[in-house]
Amino acid sequence: MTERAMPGLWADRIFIALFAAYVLIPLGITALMAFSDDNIIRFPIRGWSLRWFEEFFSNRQWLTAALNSLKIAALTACLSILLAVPAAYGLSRSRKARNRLQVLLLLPLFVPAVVLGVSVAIGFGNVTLFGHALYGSSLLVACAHTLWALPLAITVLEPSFATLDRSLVEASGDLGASPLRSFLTVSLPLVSTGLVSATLFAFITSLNEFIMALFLTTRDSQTLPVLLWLSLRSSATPQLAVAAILLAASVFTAIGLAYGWYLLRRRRKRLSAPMI
Amino acid sequence: MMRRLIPAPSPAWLVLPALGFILLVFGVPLFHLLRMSFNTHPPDGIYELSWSLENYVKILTDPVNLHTIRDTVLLSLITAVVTVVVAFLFAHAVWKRKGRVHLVLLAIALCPMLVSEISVIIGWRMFFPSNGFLSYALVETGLVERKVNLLGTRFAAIVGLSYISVSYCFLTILSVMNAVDRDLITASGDLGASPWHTFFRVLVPLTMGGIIGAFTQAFVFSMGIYAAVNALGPDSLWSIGYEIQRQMLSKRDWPLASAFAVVLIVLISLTVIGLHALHSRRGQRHD
Repeated sequence: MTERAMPGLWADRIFIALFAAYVLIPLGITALMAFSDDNIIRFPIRGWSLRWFEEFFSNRQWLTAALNSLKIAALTACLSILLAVPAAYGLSRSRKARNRLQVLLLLPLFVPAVVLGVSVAIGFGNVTLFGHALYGSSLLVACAHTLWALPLAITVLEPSFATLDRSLVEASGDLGASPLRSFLTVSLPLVSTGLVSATLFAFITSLNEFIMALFLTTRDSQTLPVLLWLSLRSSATPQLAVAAILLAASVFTAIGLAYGWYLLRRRRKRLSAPMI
Repeated sequence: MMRRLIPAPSPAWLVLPALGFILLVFGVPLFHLLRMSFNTHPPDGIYELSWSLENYVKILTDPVNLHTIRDTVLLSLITAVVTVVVAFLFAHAVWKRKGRVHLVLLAIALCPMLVSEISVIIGWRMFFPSNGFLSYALVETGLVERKVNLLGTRFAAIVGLSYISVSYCFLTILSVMNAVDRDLITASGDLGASPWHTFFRVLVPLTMGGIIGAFTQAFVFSMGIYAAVNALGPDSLWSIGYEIQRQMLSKRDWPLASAFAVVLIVLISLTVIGLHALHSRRGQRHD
């Protein structure tokens, strides 16, 4: 298509620059402020230091919160994948199931976190499991986060299973593999990209979420975003920027790792099959 | 070959664990929430079992609560319109570019999706106040004489809110745009339509489904998000979500918090159903 067919090329470029600025401002400013030497958050930044990072890593409360976040995110990812893999496989194999159940499975995604948080808190507030109170436990928060992570994981996985080459699976069956064995050794490796993406989505969703966690955690189990929200008004030190940037950094690290895995796999595939 | 004799279970059964999980962790608590909204709140406790409509009457007749609902709906509407326009224009910019530029722009557009709402709030709270980045930059460049403060304005609230849903709207619109036959755009230009005319008379109608979908998404998201509104917007700007948090965590009035949550769900469902109906009516007319 020729550029002439499109309205206002310059207006278009200015708009792109403005949008990029809009997207990058919150992250960029937080990254700058994290290295400030000042006692309060203000511009211009008068000096640079790592003191707020040191402060963060020597503060027990922040560290516990960060660990809680990682723990809950890992639990959410496991739970979502365990439930999403059979569900996505089932949906991709049965048109009837897909038409009827997909909406139901996606429903929690459209319910605000505040509603999910309140209802899970009310529904499971005084339930005990094996003598432990469920309320305030990492498991309950992970279950709540799975309500968002599971529909996402299914949405990512379902197309992978749907486009899977059926003849390979059938071939493994003809060669004597049980359905379970052919699923584990043929189908799953074929959808591994979808599998990693789904895990990543679930992990990030849980890591970033804080409204449900706010209603479901106690002082001991609160996550990093919850602690950030609770100290937003009480402390206006660059410590907030440090915690926020570490949160964003862990998200981008997870994406980087998944992408690295993807590149590695693609290269290995190319090396192992040079004739094709 | 014995195992071939055992019929493989119907794959539809494999959906059951996920379905069971959603029923247990989503369906059952939602039912508890609905039940809780009919209880009453004694002054010295959290709730008392009863069947009363007191909470709903309180929400739908108290001017303060009505004000909260009106504010929430209005702010979500404005945010949804702004977000959809921005997402559409950027999706258009990405759509007509190819290669490396296309990928870089795509990455930029997806960035907000990966950032936690709390980081968005913290970032903008360093940008808007009088000792924040915006004010500093404006004073340094001589554009304004004195420091400016935009924190605590409706503008800041809308900026923060739309940041949270813009990636999703972008994806929805871009996927519909990708399905548009590019020859139609070229044909429109060849037949003498001005670029503006092509944009509004050809591209926008062809992507109307995506626009309505994105609008629904942005509206639904904004209705439920209150942290950004509360931390960036003015104190006088109330939202249903914040009211739920306040009643639940500060006032310990679980029944009223539940009733507010039910009202929020009903408002969201009505909007989704309404917009969906609008969309399918349009679809029929075009077919």
